[in-house]
Amino acid sequence: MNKSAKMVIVLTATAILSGGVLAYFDLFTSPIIAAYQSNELKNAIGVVLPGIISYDEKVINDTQFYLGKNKDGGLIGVAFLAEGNGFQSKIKILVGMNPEFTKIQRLKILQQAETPGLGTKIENDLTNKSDKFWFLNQFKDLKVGTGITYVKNKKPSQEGEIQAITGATISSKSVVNILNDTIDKSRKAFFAEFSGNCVNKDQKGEIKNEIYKVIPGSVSCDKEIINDTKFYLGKNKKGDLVGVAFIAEGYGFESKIKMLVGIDPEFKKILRLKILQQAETPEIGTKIEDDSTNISDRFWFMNQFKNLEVDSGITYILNKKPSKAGEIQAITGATISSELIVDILNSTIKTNREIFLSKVKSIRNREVK
Amino acid sequence: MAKEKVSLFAEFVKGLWKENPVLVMLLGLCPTLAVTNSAINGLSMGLAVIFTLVCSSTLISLVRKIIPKEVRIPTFIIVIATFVTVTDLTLAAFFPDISKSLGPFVPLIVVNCIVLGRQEAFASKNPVHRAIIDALGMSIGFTLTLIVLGSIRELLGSGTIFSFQIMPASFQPWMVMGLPPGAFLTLGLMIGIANWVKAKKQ
Repeated sequence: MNKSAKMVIVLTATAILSGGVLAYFDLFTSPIIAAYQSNELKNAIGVVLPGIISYDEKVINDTQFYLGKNKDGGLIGVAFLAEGNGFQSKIKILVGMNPEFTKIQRLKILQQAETPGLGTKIENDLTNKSDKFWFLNQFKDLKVGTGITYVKNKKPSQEGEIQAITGATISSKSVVNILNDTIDKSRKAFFAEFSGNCVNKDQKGEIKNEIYKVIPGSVSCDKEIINDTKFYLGKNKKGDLVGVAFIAEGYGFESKIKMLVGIDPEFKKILRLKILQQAETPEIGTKIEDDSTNISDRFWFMNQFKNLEVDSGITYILNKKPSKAGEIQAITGATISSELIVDILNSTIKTNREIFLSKVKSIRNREVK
Repeated sequence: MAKEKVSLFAEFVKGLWKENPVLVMLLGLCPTLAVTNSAINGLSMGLAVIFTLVCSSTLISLVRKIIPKEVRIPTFIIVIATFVTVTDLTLAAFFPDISKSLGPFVPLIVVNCIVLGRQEAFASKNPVHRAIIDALGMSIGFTLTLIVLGSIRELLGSGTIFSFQIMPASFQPWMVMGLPPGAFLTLGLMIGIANWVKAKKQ
């Protein structure tokens, strides 16, 4: 037989046979592997949410949540995956939290390959004879209201504090960072889904995060349309109205300026202000959003509006510090941009105050319900 | 052929000591160093290699006459890769914990020089029964070396062997033994001792 034909035939036959064997083995093992993995996940959920009888799965914003129920079907815990990079490997943690997202119930590390003997202590520490799982156990019932922090070489003394592992500070820090990031994101996604409907799907959640930023302390929001104006009602964990947000827009010096205004429910003072869109003169008018020439505070212009009283309108002065309530300092070189922002805010807040406060009673009543 | 004079027994034991793949030929060092932080990991890795090597050698020896020599290496690799994947899937399905702790080193048996080396040096030139004996000897030699290396590192690194407590409770584990440097140090010492014993015999 021709030599090259033989080569082709032998290699092809080998590859086909190999493919057949592997296909058969995959068919035969994949259900077992899948069953093992789902069983493992089920057990892990039971570990991180003690006391649950069953759980539901729910996907919110591409995040998988496991909702743990007690025997009456009441929600007693929420579990979700947190993952991120550790010192030298990917760390995957299953987090169980109370439904209010104020405290961790238990953690379980599903995957890590940190430095053996050092970073692996995040999962179990063989050198600690009294409690191999001391690191993870620190997270048991840990309050996470203001985020988790870590201390080195001493016992944690404050709420939300844990002790890092000596010799594996980076692994410990990674766990803390992964948790802080994921808990924050999950909390927002979860509350947005379950305690409000302020954002339509078409807005893709972009504005939602901004609403939480302009209304500090809000974790959920409702949308209320009054006279064709959209109001976003920001609520805290208890469900109290802590602020109202709306969009203010108008023309600046050379572009349209769109801002999101967060204001207290009485419309007396601005909580926070955020520019959503502007294309003012680069390096001059754009200082309204970000002033890179001011090293100590690039956002000084916007920050002036933080908790600014607006009861009797906003005014501005040039080249000196504001001295009165409701006064801000205009940007040198961009007076017109500054002035127009003040105008847009004054007119929008005035209009919206009238619309909103005339309706406030009916909204309050709905809140109380 | 001169080779036929070598007894089957000698063919088997050569892998254990005289031509030990790790200590003498210095092959397959990557998995040797990487997975031996405990005795059980060494044993598991060894068993995976025994299975792969014996199966591959058997098959290659059976078909050795029809493989054109120009494509022998790709053919060997396909055969080895098939058995390795079978091993990997089987471990994942039935021994998930072992599969987890060996991680990527099971699929990496494909590029383990011991396996390919035996096909090239032995199985493709010898009848099936000799190929099987050779494969068994080599892979058991590999396994024993990994168990010894894993035991030493586990003993000094966490005070246990196969998870049984050996050292007294007051023993302070040597952190370094669980880390890559511990693997290099221990393996270096083992190779040194093997050479010393050999030199003394002569």
